[in-house]
Amino acid sequence: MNRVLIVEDQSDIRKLIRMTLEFEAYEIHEASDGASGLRMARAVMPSIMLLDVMMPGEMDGLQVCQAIKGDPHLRHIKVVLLTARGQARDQEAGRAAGADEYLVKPFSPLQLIDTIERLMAPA
Amino acid sequence: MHASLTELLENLRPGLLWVTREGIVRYANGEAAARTGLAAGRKLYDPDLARAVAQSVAGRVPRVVNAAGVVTGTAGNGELKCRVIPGLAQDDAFVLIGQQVGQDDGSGFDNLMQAIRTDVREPLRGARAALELVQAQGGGSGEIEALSDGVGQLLDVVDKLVDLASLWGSGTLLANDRIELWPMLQQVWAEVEPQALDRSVKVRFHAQTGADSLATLYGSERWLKRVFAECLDAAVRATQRGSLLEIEHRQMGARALIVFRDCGVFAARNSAAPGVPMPGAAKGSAARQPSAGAREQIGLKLCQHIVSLHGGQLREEHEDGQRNFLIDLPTGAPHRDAGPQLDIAQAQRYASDLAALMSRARKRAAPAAAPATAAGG
Repeated sequence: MNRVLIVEDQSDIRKLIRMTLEFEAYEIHEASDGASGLRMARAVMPSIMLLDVMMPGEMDGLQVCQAIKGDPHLRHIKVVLLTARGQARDQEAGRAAGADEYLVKPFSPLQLIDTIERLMAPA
Repeated sequence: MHASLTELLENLRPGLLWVTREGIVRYANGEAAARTGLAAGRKLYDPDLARAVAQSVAGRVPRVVNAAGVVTGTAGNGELKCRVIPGLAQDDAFVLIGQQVGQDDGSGFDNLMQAIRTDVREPLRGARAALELVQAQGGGSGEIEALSDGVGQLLDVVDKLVDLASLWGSGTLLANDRIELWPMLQQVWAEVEPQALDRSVKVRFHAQTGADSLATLYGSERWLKRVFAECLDAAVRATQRGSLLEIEHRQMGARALIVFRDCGVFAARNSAAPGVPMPGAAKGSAARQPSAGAREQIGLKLCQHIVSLHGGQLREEHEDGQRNFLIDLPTGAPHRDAGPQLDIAQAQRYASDLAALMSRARKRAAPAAAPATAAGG
């Protein structure tokens, strides 16, 4: 079963994402800030991380993404950034941090599922 | 957008939103961003306003509506008077945002701030240019030098006052720039270094984590940089000549503390009696002290205002017999909470996709059910 790690500080958004993923067969893990998200990624080794960008704490989403993609043991994890920051320069920053995909909030749950399936498909 | 058009729209007194017929914001000037919490890419959250936009676009007619806004101050209930007019294209509209419903106009203070912004800034620039000319042509005369120093100090004070006034009603503070702290500190240091060299003050910076991995700040990069420049400049001035100024970065959960150790930033001058020269001050400089004190007082007010609007605090703490000055700021996300509007919008997207999600899940489950049915039939 594919593991998905949701890293999002707003509990209502996290719940909505979980509710979306529960329509599919995923093993779902959650974290509410960047630093604990990174620790959980090391612990559960998800196939994919859904990562909010702006999260109060010592690491925002872009820093977590950089840490994931900079670690040879973790860089295989696909990272989807979920963010309210929709400007071109923000998406560019996401790509520069190594993100595999970038969805602007409020995002379509259907699009989220399609994105996850596409990223998890065998190459 | 053309730079002149941007400046024109930013300086419009009413808030202005440029929206699509679906209620997606294409542009929000500073005033509108402050009143509504909206920014480009977000969706109108007030259903009455969204309906008025749709009607205005469809009928190419103006609409007037009261809409929900951000509650500010003690007056008003957060409702805004909005006038929606058809946009320049067939599928968009402009929303002109007026006063809060029930709020006192408060135009007197706003007019003062506006007057300072518009009527003082240009004369200030002219005075600075004239001062530079006098200094260049002064020819080393002690009286001219003392005069130009005094005028320079005064212009510094007025300059800070103009900056403080420019923050009033400005939406620039509502920017949510992503700010990497270490590069910003390096830029600030480049500005202050000449002062430190002049005073032979060495500055040492410690961070618990590596300097490259400091937590990010979110807010107005322009104004936060100003805070750090003001504080570092004041700290260097407050440090004895030839001494070491230690600055420490500590991450405390979701907050960063930048600590100026054993340093009475902004306070050193206050502790002196009026008119008494500070130790080590140059001869004949007693006349400078009142305006130097005013400069730092306004600088402190400016920094306090900016930091507080970012959800932070400037404070002094005593630790191990030392008086430390702290800049305390939230990290990782903007201070302003756009959560409720975003939650509602995301829940609406979920609801609109729900039927399709359920259908998809049924189709996925159906092939698994079919063989059992066929075997039993």
